[in-house]
Amino acid sequence: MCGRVRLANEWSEIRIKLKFDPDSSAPNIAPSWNIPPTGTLLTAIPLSRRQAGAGEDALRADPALGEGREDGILDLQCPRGIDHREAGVS
Amino acid sequence: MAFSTFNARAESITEKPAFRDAWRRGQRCLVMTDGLYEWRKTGVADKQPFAIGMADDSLMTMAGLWDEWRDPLNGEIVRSCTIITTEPNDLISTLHDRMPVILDEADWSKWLGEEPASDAELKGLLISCPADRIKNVAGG
Repeated sequence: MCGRVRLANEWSEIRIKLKFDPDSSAPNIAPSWNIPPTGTLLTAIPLSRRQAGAGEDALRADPALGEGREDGILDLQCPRGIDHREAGVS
Repeated sequence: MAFSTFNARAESITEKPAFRDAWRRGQRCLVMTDGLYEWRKTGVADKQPFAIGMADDSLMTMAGLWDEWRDPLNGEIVRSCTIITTEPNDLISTLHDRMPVILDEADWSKWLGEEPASDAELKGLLISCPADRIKNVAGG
């Protein structure tokens, strides 16, 4: 996969469809035809999972998560950030 | 030669050190775009871009993993994610040997852990979507 297209959709529609916080404001992602693999994209993560965070707490997080989802803009990078040379062409 | 691991291969996601902890912790996310593009060689030095979108013009919602890690350079906490890829469907296979896992809306809650799902069920979601769910936006 060589590239992704950034969002050009209406934020109000996205917010409803993804069950984001109704008061959440539009993320600052300008529509673009090209972002690099280390660029940023809109993501959805269940709120309670995000609040638990990564690490030991996340392991104990209740799998029955809340209704809300958090929107966010995450860098597209290797999750651990330290194993960029692990293997595999995707 | 080592390769960068910007995307996570569905086939090895539970084993690769870069992704297995995030998988084990259930740090799954959705990554939303309008689509993606791929390049296809049309000659020795020429390549043509192909934009791929959803057939119904809806959001292209991909399966991802997220994590937090400390930047060794400045100590700051960095949040990042990876897109999960799988074998291509008939449309993408003419362009590339991989494609993102595009989730159906009916599976979003399961993927995000809002509905219970076994590991096997979750892995079962990591397949290519039917070719008729996507289209070449450029009109090809």
